[in-house]
Amino acid sequence: MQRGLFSRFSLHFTLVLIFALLAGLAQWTAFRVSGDTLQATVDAQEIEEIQTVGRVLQELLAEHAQRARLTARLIARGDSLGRHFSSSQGGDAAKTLRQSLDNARVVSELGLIEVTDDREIVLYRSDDAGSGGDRSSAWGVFEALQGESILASELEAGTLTVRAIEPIRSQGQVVGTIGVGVQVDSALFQKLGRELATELFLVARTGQVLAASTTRPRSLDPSLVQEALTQKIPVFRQSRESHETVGYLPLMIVDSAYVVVAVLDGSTAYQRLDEGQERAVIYTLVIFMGCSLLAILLLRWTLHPLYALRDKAEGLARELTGSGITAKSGNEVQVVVNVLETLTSRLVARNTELLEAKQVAEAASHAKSKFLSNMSHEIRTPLNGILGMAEILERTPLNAEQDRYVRAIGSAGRALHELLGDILDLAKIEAGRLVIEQTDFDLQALLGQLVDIFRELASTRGNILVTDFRLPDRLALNGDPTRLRQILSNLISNAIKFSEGGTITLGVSPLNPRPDDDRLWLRCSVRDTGIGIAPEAIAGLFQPFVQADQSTTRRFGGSGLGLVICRHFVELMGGTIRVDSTLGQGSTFTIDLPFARAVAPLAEPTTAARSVDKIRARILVAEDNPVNQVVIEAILGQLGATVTIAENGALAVEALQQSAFDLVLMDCQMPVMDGYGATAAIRALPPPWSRVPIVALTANALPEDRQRCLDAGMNDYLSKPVRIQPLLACLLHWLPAGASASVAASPPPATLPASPSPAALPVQTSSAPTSLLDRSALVDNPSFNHPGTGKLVERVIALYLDDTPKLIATLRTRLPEPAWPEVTRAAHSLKSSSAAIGLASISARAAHIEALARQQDAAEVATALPGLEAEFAQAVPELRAELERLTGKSPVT
Amino acid sequence: MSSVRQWWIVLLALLLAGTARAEDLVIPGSGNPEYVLDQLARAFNARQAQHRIVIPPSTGTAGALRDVGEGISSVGRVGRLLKDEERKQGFVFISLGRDPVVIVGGAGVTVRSLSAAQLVDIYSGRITNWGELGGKAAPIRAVGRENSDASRQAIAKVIKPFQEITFGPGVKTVHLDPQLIALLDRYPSSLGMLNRSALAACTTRVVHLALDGVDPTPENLEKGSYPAWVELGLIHKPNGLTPAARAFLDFIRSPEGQRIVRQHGILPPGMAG
Repeated sequence: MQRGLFSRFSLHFTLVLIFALLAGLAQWTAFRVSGDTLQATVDAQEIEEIQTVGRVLQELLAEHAQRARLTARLIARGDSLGRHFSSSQGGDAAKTLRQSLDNARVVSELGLIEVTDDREIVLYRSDDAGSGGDRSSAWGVFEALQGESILASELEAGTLTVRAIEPIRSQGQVVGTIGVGVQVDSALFQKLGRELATELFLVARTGQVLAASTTRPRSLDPSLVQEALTQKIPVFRQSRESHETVGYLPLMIVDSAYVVVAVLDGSTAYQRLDEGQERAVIYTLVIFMGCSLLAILLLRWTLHPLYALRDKAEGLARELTGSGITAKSGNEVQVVVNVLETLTSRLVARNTELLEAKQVAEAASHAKSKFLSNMSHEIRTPLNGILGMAEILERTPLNAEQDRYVRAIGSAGRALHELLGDILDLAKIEAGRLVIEQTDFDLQALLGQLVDIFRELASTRGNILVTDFRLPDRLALNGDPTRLRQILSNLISNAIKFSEGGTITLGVSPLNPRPDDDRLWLRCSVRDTGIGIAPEAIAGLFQPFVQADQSTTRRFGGSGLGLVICRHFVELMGGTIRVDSTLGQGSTFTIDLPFARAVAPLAEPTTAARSVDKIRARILVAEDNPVNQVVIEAILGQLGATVTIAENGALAVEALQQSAFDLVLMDCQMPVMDGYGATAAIRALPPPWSRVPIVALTANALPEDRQRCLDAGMNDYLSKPVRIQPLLACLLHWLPAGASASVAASPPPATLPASPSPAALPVQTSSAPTSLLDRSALVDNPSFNHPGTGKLVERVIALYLDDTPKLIATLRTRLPEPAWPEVTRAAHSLKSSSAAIGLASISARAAHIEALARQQDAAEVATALPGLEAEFAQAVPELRAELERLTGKSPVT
Repeated sequence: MSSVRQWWIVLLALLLAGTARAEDLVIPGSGNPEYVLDQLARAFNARQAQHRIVIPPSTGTAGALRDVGEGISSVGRVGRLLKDEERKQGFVFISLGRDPVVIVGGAGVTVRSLSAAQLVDIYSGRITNWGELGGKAAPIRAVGRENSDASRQAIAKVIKPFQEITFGPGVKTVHLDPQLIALLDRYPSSLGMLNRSALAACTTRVVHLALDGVDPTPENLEKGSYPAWVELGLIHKPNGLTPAARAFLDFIRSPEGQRIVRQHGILPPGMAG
């Protein structure tokens, strides 16, 4: 806080100081300028005053001269002077004249009276300088004797006199002159100086001071006197120190030029100037203070948001990063910048951390997804075995108890299969890899299939499944029918699961068209009269791994993923899902989904296939593994199809072009040309070959594999080992309507008793606990022991015994210098054929080796190979024994 | 629209009023060209009403330099050519012409010619009476000028002793031409020196004396036989001429102006021998 205070003070202080200094400077400049102007004005006034003094002085001197002239005239016209001149000029008369002129001088208060005769001889002179007898050379005497009145100046013995000279007449004759003079001396100047309040000096051309108004000594500049005279204009000097203005005024006194020096004391005016300047200083200080105050207030107001920003940033930093920001010292702006920079760098660092954490989390999530899919694959492979076995077992003669057990195995297996599917789906959704397809489909057909499937299932729990379709008979849409089926299946199976003896209603109706949306919106609802959902549980219903009641998991089973997946699917399809439920009364799940119109019109319905007896189709099987060839051929043959085998992709492409086929079953892993390449080649052929449906057959159960198949141009996907039911469903789906005939959708286990007693359960499957061979897969599988299949099982076993050592040899021989594609293919082939013949553990070992080969881990393959070889060696006698048995007796039934 | 038009009318009226108003041009300065300029101004003022030229009493060439220099007047009148330092200060000289400087006597002077030496003796105080020069006996009332004076400088150029002369005790020194003229008129036996045109202001019949036998006539000046003259002129600052000043200068250069100049014995520029 102390730092904050200091930094705040610094910017404040700086700016306030600048403001105040600028204001003070402006004020000071203004005063300075006005002061200068005032000073100039005062100076000019002083000069003007001095010039006035000069003029007034001239007038006063003129007045004095006039008085002298009047006096001279008065005396000249008086009788006494004339009488004197007319009488003799001596003795008493002269004395009398002198007396009377002396009186006249006293009365007139004028300094000088001079009287001459008509020969310019001075008869009288009042100052007694030359009391008589001298000839007057003064200007005007000669002229006065001519009868003129003359006013003249006379500089005599350091005294300037202005004289009025008048002629003295006697009987019409000029007999003499009288001059009355005013002495322009210090006495006169003292008087004039007082009148004009000025110090005055009269200076001659020589620089001599002729008169002064003061006795105070003053040095006058002779050069300025000369300048005034020669330039004939006044010269002024002003002294700031002594507050004086000195004017050297060239002045004509009657008829001669002199210089009058006038000294004006301007101290009063200058004092006023000084006072003004003092006031200016005080005003400047006041304005300085005022501006400082104003600047402080203004800055506080202006910078307030900045402080608020800093506080906010600091608070944010504390909140986000847990520690406050210790800003470096500096002014407010620097502090704010510092705080924001620190905050930014912390946020950047935090962001980086979060990004890294996100990447770690994503990597973890990806690893999880990968793990999930791998695990599900790993689980699915044996599970497929279990399901297949259960299915086959179901078709063998069983007693009631056995039948129940087998059904339980099948049911549990399917549940597990579904769960795996759900987990895979969810993993894909979370990984963002789920793609919604856009294909044309028949909605009515889809709904019909669903109802058919679930009606029976519903009845098992005493429920009735009713429909409420408000749709045209056939509605072609474009969207993802698989996901729609999955969603509805999930909702219906949930409804069945949570209802007992109730009614489940599947309703589908179109919604009103939405503005600016030409898609068709459908509302699908699944309503049940089941146990319902508690209001507080509804919120968590669509969250992963949540069921309405945790106890339901135990009571009703289920992964708790179904609704989550439904929600994701619906949202990915651009729709919404919601639930309305009353506890104890039932629930209604409603989804609103948009669909585009179908691109092409619907094909004729193929639903009839569901009740066909036989498939009359020509099917090309591309499969390199001899065992698998035989197995598939047998199954298809049992279904009534005509089978052609091609041993690799290239041969398949060739075969396809040589004769017509309704469908191709394509193994993916084959030598020469694999299934993907073959599919691409077929799709590149001209029609009709390019249009043939291609269904992938692969032991790879990973979701990516399916996608890869579809990407390659295949239409569907079946995982190995091939089971009859999915194969049939798939064929019915893809074969043209005319290709299927009268085969039951679920090939009836016609040869098996409907409900065999538990006691009659064959025990041969479990007779040899150490046996590797799963007899149900092939040896005892009714599909392969059908009257039409001939010596199929024999052939299969013989082929397996013949082929497997070659494959193992391939693994061995290629291993030291691994040719990974061959090793992988051999392992794959071994995995596939072993599974087909019922050697699950060998298949698993082969699968393991295949996985290792894909990772190109030679050491691990080398480690795993002996186990495979050992198990095969173990299986060989059993297979041979079986072969002997088969050749010795006819197949079952 | 209408308000814009009103403003235009007001502006036009102001411009017209501005142009219509007569400008008073005061031309202060030297006494040498005072008389002839006054005559020119009267003629100019009579011819037109837009401008009025005022020729105030003399303040000397120094006064002209001061007033034009300080911007008090745009034009000043001078009785001499400009000095180098004055030209450097930016003054521009316009010549009116050459005027002979006349040795002039009062109305009572009977002497008709003076030699240079006699003139020097008079002003030095060695000759004080016209009687000594063969004239009617009367004291010589010699009126001198400051050494900065144009007329004195013109004489001093011809009569070298005049450059460093000390005036005798009976010599009075006046500053300005009108003061000289006043003394010439007042003292019939006076003696002074002044350019010829300015002497027209005298009220008495002053006498033009020949200098060393040469009469101070325009003809003699033009021939080059009369040596003393002043160059009359006007000064101004560059671009400092007002419309009135330009109009007045145009008038001076016009035939009528030149006629008036010649009428006063002034040799127009470029005519001197």
